Amino acid sequence: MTLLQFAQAYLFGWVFWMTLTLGCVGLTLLYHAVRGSWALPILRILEAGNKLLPVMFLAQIPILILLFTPTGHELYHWLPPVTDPVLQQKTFYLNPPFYVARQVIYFAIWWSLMSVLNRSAARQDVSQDPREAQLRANVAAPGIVAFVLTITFAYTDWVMSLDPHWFSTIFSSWFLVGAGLMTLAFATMIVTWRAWRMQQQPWVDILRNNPGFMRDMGNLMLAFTMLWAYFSLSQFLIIWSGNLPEETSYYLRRTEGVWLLLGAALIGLQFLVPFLCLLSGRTKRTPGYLFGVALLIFVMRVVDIFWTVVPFFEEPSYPLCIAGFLAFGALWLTLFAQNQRNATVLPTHDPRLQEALESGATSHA
Amino acid sequence: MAVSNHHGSSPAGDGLSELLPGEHSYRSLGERIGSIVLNQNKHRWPWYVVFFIAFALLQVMMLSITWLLWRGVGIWGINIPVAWGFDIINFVWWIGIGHAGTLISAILLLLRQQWRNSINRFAEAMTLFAVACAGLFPLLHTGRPWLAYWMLPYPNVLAMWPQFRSPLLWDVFAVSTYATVSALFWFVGLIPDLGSLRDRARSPILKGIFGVLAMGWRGSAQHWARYETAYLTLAGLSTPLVLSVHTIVSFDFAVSIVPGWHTTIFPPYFVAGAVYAGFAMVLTLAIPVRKWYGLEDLITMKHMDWMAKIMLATGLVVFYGYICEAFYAFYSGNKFEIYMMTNRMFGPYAWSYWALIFCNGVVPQFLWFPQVRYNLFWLFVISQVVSVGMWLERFVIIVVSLHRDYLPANWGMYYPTIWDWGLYLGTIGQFTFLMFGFIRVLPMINIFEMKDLWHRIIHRGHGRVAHAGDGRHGGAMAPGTVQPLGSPAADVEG
Repeated sequence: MTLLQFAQAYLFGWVFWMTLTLGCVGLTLLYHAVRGSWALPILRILEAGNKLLPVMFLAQIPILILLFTPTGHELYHWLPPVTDPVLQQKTFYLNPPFYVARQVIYFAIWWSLMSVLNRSAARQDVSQDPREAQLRANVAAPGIVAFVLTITFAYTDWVMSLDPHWFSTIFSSWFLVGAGLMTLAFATMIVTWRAWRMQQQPWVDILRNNPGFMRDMGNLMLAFTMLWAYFSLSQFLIIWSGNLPEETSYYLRRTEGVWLLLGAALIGLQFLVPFLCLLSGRTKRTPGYLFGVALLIFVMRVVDIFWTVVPFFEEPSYPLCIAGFLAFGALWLTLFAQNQRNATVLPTHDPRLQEALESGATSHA
Repeated sequence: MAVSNHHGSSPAGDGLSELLPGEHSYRSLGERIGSIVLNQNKHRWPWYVVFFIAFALLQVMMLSITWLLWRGVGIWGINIPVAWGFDIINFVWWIGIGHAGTLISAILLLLRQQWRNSINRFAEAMTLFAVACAGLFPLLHTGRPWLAYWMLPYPNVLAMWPQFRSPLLWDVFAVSTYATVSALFWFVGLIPDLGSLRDRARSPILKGIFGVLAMGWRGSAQHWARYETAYLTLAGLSTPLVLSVHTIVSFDFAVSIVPGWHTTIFPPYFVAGAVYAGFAMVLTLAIPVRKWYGLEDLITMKHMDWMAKIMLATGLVVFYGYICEAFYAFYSGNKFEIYMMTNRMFGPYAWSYWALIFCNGVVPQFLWFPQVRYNLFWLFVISQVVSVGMWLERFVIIVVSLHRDYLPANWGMYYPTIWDWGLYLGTIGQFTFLMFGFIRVLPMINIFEMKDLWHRIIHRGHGRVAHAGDGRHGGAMAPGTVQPLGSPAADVEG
């Protein structure tokens, strides 16, 4: 085991759980901006996730330090000394000090947005002041713009620049769609598991009284599954038809040997199976089924990000990458659970909570 | 609101009465909308002025086409290297405009968005007429439109078979499917209203025409049940079309290796651009028409607000596309990509790039402010700017990318001729001509859906009916299965 292999595994684990964190950030923003009632029951889950931003930033520091060591160059080839003439052209953007500065800016933007929104939601629990919701909408709508822009540069920095010759304009938005998908699956798993296996309140009541909630989560997962497939296919088809060496390297590496199998599994299990299951109304009515589909989606998100990130590495240790994923996962989930324990289960005084809990109940009266 | 005070057994705030304010009855709604068709005295001077101008422009189109067929595409400004000019720009522009209609009629229906009800008929007609304008351009660009059927894969003795790997061929299928499904969707949605007009018309000739078109519609419970199934099926079929058509249009460019065309963000960014341009056109038409025909309580400011918000959101996606294009061109380190971007920004066509950024990047940001969204004048102005911006976007992508590619020896300039402009303005004439003709002969707002909306406003919170409405929210769907024989349906006679 070399330091490089360790760094690769660390980076993979970090990118995966960071993507889930950002999914929580993105859905929190989306929810507050559109003020729909669909995400009210999972708002505290999203908040517990987005509150891990500072931890994830601390966890990135070892990677940032690595940039200034000789091993860094083996991970990110754009790090000095740069001899390749194409990469020399990119130093205006890809250079260590600017890279570090950008990370600070991203996290500062994300964290300030989240603290304003989380605090306002918590304040409203106490004060019941309906103006808080308007305040959050006013912050979250432009917040989405800032979020999407920063995400674009962030994934370019973290993942795309692992192969500094390669570029694809849809890549970051593709990651964003995947983040949304995996966060929805994650939240759906938590809610359905608690209601269906653990018979915990208030989840049992929510699922029983408001069938719209599971339908909405199912339909959102369906929409994101389709978007994921649409973005993936677009990127593939355009690169395949162009057939330019600087771009096709991405797919060539990912269709060698076992990678090809993983890629094929993604088409079937990240798209086809969940797509067909989620089309059916029955899946969206039965907590056990919905849990199963969400679990499948989440597992395939792991495979997909593995398939995307790891082939960028030179001679990685696969077991170590999996260990990196698990170690980060243990840390993330522990802190996530702690955040959950420290907050109320539902945003109690949001005026739309009643709507979210009982819309189904009144319509069936 | 008066209504919710009278009947409000459920708390106000479901937003329904905001979409149909004031006092109405089933009869008055039928009268109001139907009379625009049946009472020709309703049409005042604005209709005649617009129709006359449109008709004049339509003649310009006819003239441009005639001369084109006589002399060939050499009368256009296209050349080598810019072999695609106004023809493709205008094709993409028109096809994009149509997308708002499909989004409103199909996706917003499936998403149970009530506010689509009063604008869907109108927007669907717009889709059809925009596709009719779009289709002309590639057809005429072939130079020999009478041989257009060669693009279809049919067994022939010419030993010819279309190139299935080319997105240009996919376009043939995508656009013709789109036109067919849109026409069906529009017509099926019209049937109950045609029945209503048949019953309301006095003149035997009109009765006959509407009677044939209504296809024997009687408004029975069975008819409504069949109708619902057909309409939902068509909505399901149309939904992927919103994405597929413009995705394939974006592939026309993206699968090539021309710098400025070959970029992976194109599909979603083209689709967003299409919806963006489409809503600009819906607003362009709806703002004057609702004023001329006094429809302010059917197409409310709430509708305008929603459309403006969608325009803002899709406009932001489009602007994000521009940012990605610019950033990754420089990030790529590829000298052709970098040159393409520098040429866009500072080359001979730099004016078009900066005008584009102004129209699609800067101006729509005013829509963040509710004061602007609720001001019809500014909303109208912004819609015009957006339409121009989306046209410029295609100009920048097509002409500016083509005129300087890999080989400096191949570089050239593109100047449209009077015939390019003649055909372009002519299609605007054709579109307006068809739109205003439509307003005069068919109900531009869905009569029965408005009755249904009214039904749900006055019966809110009454257990059984609320359940029926709630279960199927989709405005279009309501009359039928659960309710007793047609509240709005039996009311067709009015």
